[in-house]
Amino acid sequence: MFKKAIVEMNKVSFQYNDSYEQLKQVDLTIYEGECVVVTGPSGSGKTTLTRLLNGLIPNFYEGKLTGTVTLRRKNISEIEPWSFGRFVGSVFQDSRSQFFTSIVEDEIAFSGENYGMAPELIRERLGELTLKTGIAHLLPKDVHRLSSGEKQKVAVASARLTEPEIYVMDEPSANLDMRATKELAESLSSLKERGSSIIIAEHRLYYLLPIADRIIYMSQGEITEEWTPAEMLALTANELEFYGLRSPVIRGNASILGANRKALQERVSLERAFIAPGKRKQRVLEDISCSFGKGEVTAITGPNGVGKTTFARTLCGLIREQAGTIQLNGKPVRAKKRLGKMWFVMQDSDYQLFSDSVYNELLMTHEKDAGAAERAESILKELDLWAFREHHPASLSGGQKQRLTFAVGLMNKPDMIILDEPTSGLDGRNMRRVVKLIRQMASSGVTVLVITHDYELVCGACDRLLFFQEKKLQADISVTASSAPKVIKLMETLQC
Amino acid sequence: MRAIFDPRTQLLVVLIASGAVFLVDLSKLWQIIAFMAVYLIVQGMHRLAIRYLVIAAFLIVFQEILVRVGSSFFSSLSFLAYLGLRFLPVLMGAGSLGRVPSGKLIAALTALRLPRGLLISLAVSFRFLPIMRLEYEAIQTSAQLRGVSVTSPRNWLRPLRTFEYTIVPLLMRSLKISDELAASATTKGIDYPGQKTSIHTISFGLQDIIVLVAYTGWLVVVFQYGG
Repeated sequence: MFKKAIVEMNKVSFQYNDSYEQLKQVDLTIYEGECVVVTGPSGSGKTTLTRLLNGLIPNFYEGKLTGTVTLRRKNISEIEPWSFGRFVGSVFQDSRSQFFTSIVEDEIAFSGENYGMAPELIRERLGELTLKTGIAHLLPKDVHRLSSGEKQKVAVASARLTEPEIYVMDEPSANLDMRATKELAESLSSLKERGSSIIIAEHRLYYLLPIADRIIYMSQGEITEEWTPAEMLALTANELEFYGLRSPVIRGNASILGANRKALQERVSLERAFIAPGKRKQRVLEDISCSFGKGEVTAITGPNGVGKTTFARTLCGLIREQAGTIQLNGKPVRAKKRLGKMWFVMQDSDYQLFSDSVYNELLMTHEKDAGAAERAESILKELDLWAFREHHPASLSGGQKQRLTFAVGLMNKPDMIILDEPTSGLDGRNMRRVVKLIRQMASSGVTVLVITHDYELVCGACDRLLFFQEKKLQADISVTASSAPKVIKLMETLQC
Repeated sequence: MRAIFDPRTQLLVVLIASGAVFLVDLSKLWQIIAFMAVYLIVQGMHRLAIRYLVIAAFLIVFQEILVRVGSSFFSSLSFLAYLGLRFLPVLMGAGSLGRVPSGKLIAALTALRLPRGLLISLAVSFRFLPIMRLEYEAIQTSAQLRGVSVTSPRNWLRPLRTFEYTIVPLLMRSLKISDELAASATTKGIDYPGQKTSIHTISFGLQDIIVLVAYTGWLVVVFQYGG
């Protein structure tokens, strides 16, 4: 069959003016109607590659570009910077910063309005698109109030408005649960059926394998491997680990067994707790009783908006429980007193770092403690951050920042550490590193609670899974080799 | 039923308010605040109106007390209350403008034939405000965990440090978000030099004429006869 190239890159190198990331001598041809997945460790140049295709490089992000990139047989240097959006639709990872308008309808219409399409035509396309993608009911809603899954559907619909031939996506599943990821996969395959070409940079591979024609592996700015889905499936566990990749199929990891719960000393327990995001707000969780043992790692999962984060915030003492008691080491402790005994690692570390250096970050609020300096040193060494102690936290990589927020928490000798989606958007290597770190913390006696949609994390690090749905604790399963299929099914369907 | 005004009318109301508050006598200021409250209520923003009325009442009482006490120590506080009171009607007008969907706002600003650069920056800043609020909340949450939050009184003794711990992460996040926001808008043709369109029809209706006539009339009454 004769295939027409839609993207051609010939010896393309790029160096940002203000970042170390780069591309080196990249040769790549993508044919019409192909779905190409670009994967590889963080910082390997995946995002840079996508930016060459949607015109952000060299028009928006400046740097030194050599070699030739042609889109639809036209050199990108001859394409007007503003016209890329007509034939390339872009979807990004963070929906908070990819939506320019405040209402769903406006967001989807945005590119049409910019390109001066007739309002009637935009309305017509809007109607068609939202009907097809099943989001017609969202049109009048505020984009900030949508769930992550809904946001990503809106982002895809918005990219589709101008009917581009090429779609470029940068980690679109990073913030999605498994059910929303499945829906994303469905919308991608419908795009592919319509003959669109899709280029997608991603760490999570399992949902893309049925759609992908090729998987390209990048390392340090170069394309070093190329696999077909069949070749990818044939990679052994050792090879996946060598490449730092996540698993291409959903499978339970049998390496971990749930701890013997009876043997554990009780650390934190809830008795008939009623939980709401505020004093007079509606309850999100009712009549919750459960306990967490010393050194136990528990995963919490459930549909979007079920109150997982509110639960975590209540445990930390950021919110007061409406009714019921929460005990620490066998004694009831009020919300205010719990603050400082628990540590909450948020999904985005930027919020949690305040100081001007890694070392000062750890000593902050510990200025007067005896032995704080030695403890900071040993924690930093343990987490591979000692070499960076003089660096500004903002200059660290994503993984280092995350480890720093762990370190800050460990300084307080907390009874419990709660992690919110610690592996979203992480490559396989960093994901496994977090898994190892969690096990390390647990074996030193810290109780760990993980809010997550990542089955690889649950199967790799957790002893137990709690599933919340419809205001109740619906399931409490210990994660073992034999229960793994059940755990995964629960996470995939989000139904008990 | 609630009235929906043309964003251009709302903009004009803000402009008139900002002129009026500096010309009117302080003793008559409450009359302008009262009008703005009615203006918010007919748009269905009862809660916003009540919130501002409570703030206004508080500031007026505070001002009165300070005037009676007459101590020089309080004069700077009195000045702050005075400023707050003067700005209140403008904030109330801006509050209703802030609720306009950004698509409609852009359409209205385009109809005003504002320069493209100004239009985009205005639209972005309106878009940025709600994001900043969310960001601020997230930062305060983690500050609370670290014990450096503005909400806990013991940090009020170290205002500079507390301020730094709010503003540094806020700046970091803002830089990142504004960059990504601009990148996303670029891929959607915001730089297209041709004529833009809008799915919103912007039209000046009866309700706009009524509110502007009423506002002008009210101001005439306030300046001529009120108080």
